[in-house]
Amino acid sequence: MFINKLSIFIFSTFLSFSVFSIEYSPAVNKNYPDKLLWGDTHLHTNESADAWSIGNPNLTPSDAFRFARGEEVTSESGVRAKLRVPLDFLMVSDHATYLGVFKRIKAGDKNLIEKPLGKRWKNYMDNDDPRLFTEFVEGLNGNQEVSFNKEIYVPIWKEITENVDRFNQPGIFTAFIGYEWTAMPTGDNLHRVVIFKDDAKKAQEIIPFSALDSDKPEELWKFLENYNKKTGGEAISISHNSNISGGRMFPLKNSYGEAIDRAYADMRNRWEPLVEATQVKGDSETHPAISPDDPFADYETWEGNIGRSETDRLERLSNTGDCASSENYKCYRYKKSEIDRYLGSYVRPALRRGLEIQKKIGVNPFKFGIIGSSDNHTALAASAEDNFFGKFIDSEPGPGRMSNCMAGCDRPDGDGQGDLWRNWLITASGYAAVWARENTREEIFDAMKRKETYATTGPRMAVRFFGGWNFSKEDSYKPNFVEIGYTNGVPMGSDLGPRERGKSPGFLVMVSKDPNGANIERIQIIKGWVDSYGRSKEKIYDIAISEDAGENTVDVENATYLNSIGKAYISTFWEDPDFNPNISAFYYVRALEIPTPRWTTYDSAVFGIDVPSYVPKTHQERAYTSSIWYNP
Amino acid sequence: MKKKIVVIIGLIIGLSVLALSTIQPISDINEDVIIINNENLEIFYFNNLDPENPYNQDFSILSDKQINQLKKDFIQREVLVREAKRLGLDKIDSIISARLAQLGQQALVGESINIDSIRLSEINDFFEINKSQYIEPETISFSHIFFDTEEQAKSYLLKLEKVADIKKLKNLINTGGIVFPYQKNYSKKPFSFVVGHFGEIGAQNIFSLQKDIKNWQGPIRSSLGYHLINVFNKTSMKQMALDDILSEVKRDYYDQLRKKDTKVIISNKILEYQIIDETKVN
Repeated sequence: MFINKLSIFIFSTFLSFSVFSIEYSPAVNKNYPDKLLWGDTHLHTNESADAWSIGNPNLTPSDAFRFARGEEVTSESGVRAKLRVPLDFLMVSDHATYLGVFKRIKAGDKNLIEKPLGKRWKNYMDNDDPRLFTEFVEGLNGNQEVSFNKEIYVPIWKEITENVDRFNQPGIFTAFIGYEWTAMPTGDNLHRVVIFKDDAKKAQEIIPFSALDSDKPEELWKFLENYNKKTGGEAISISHNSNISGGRMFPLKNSYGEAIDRAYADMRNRWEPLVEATQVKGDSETHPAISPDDPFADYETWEGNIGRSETDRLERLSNTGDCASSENYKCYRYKKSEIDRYLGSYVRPALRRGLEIQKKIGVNPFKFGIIGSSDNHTALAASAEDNFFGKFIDSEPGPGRMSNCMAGCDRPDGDGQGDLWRNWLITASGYAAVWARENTREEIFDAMKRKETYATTGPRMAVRFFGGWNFSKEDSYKPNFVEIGYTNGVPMGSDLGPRERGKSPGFLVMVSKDPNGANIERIQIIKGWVDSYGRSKEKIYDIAISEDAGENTVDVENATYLNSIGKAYISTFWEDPDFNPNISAFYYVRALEIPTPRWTTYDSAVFGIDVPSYVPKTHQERAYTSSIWYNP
Repeated sequence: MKKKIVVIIGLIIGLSVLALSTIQPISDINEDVIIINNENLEIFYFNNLDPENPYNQDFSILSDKQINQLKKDFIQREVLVREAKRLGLDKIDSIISARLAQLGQQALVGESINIDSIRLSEINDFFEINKSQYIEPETISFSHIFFDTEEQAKSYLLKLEKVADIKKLKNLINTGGIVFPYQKNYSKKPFSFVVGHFGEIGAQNIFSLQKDIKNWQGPIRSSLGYHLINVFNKTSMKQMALDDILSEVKRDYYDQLRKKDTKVIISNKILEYQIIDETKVN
């Protein structure tokens, strides 16, 4: 009897191991991100002091969320606005400096107008007194005398965060709590957005850390660390507009003038895993001055911070032909003595610089992932070329927007001194793409931390990028491409696993066009590495290219193009032919669309206006992925 | 006599000046005169500052050279503005008038309504009137297999139709086609979601299919390629219940109240104006 029972037990145990060690349901073991989610983590509304005062007194964070999830909203200038396809997530990131203050003072909020500063500002507002601006600027520069006690922000932050929770619908639409830390020492842009994984209740345990608290990013990261310790919650920072940081976004020294060390590198990597590489104030991937062999480097680049701190650092290359106009900003460059500033201002040289520093101190301080976002101050996350609602009210759709000056400045002396840029320069860009398991705060935030993200300049191109040692060309055709990618390799944002003897790294790349946009012209892998002397290098490989690459179907007059060239879908494999196992390297994908009309060309057709000759008529929009790194 | 004549002449001159000043406003007489004083120069200076420029100086410490440059800029701006006004350009520029209208509205309308004072019965009434705004859209649930070409999709459909064994069929479904950048399975997705993955044509084609759990349909075309589709479910548009969306409806009602309030304030202001309508349209 006992023997019988024992044999049944052994048999059933064997059966369960043999049958159920292979799962029946294919979804059971599928534990990799299969959802491509689109969003914007950088948008301003009337809670931002500058947006409010430059012409957006009405559109609220609620309007921003409604617009992002696909509803129609009327812009400040009265134009009806709607996204062609809704976004999956949004973070409204109003400036922490004077967060919500202007709007509430104007409305007569007693908490504010009974304070001496609030009373004074109300008076300025009622009398249209320009000192409101001066003191606002002083605040941005960290003048503590023009600041409120932190306590006034408690009810404001409460109201803002609870409103965000109202729009968060797990599985459908994710609304993130966040804000912008707007530091600009000596006018150089060190701005970061701060994104919270948590809900209002947890986020309310702190008050946003602003540039009035400190203009040093190290202090912001300490604040994020303390938030984590205090609440168990989590928040990270994402830098933006490195292109106008005067070389200070990716520095060789920390904010105290000391050489970057391991502690700095660890701290930066922990609390700032992402960089916003493209947005309305230009593209920060790279610049022709530092990537002279890259024919696609000059994409929406800005020549430093024209009109702000950098006029003395720039020189005009020419004043004839197209450069006769001082408003052709492409005719300026950093002076030779300032040329190193490019290196600290762009993403690709920063990735290279990271490897150089790693060789010296053992840690790479610039091991970041990539996203794009808008930085619009209109409450409208609209970054498509033919559905672009600009930066401020002065660049909302209308016949005059191209020649308006950003933020309303317009000095008539015509020599470019002291002007902010004309709006033709601004870029209809960009969006953040995230590979996640679900559309929830937790999943998207985790994807951001592991850098499984990429940027596009507006189009919703899908990009998969895996690196490994055992991929083959056949893998790129297989329907389980993604499963192979995760099983035999690593996704974008990761380190390659241990090298297998005698092998070079191989990469699986899949790019498909924006389902409602233009075809793909080419896929490139950008590689950076350091040689044995510690000097970094870069090389661009065309790994897939349409046979008609270089053709342009754009009809400039009517602002149309044809998808008769390029490809809708490309899946491919590439192995590094120049691999040296003894040196560190990074690889990232850049995918280019076929030429399409720039937003200014669409404007020309819609409003019947002329575009200055020096403004590009067509361009090639693109996606940049986070890197995959190799370390010997 | 002489005295009388002088007084009369003086009176005539005085009355003429008075009459002329009534006919032609002082401001118009002064349109060709540009007065520069510290007050208007300071306002001009601040209005043209970049608010984020840390090098901004206080007006009171500007050097003589800077003040002189500022004066030149001020004069040039004034001349251009006046010329533009003289030509009536301020009245035909849509951006200027839109911005002025916006500033006017902002000045007239404040935060006049308290959201917390809204009663449930008001929300109920609002919801009943605006029910049509709170409708869940039509959705579709489906799986698909993605192909480069229509021929590949057609021949794969033949394969699927021939297989009766469920295990084999499942294997064929999982290993067919090429990798699609988005999802393989879609559950209860509205058109606005599907269009983001399949393009306009693809979404229309998918939504035109009927529910059919047993059979694969297609191929249908999307903007990325061709698809075989298995439609599990379709739901029609559905009315949402107030309890599920109470806070959203409350907010919408609040927004509507604000808009109405704004309208009333502006309408009252309009009553203060005399409107002369010279069109022939009633």
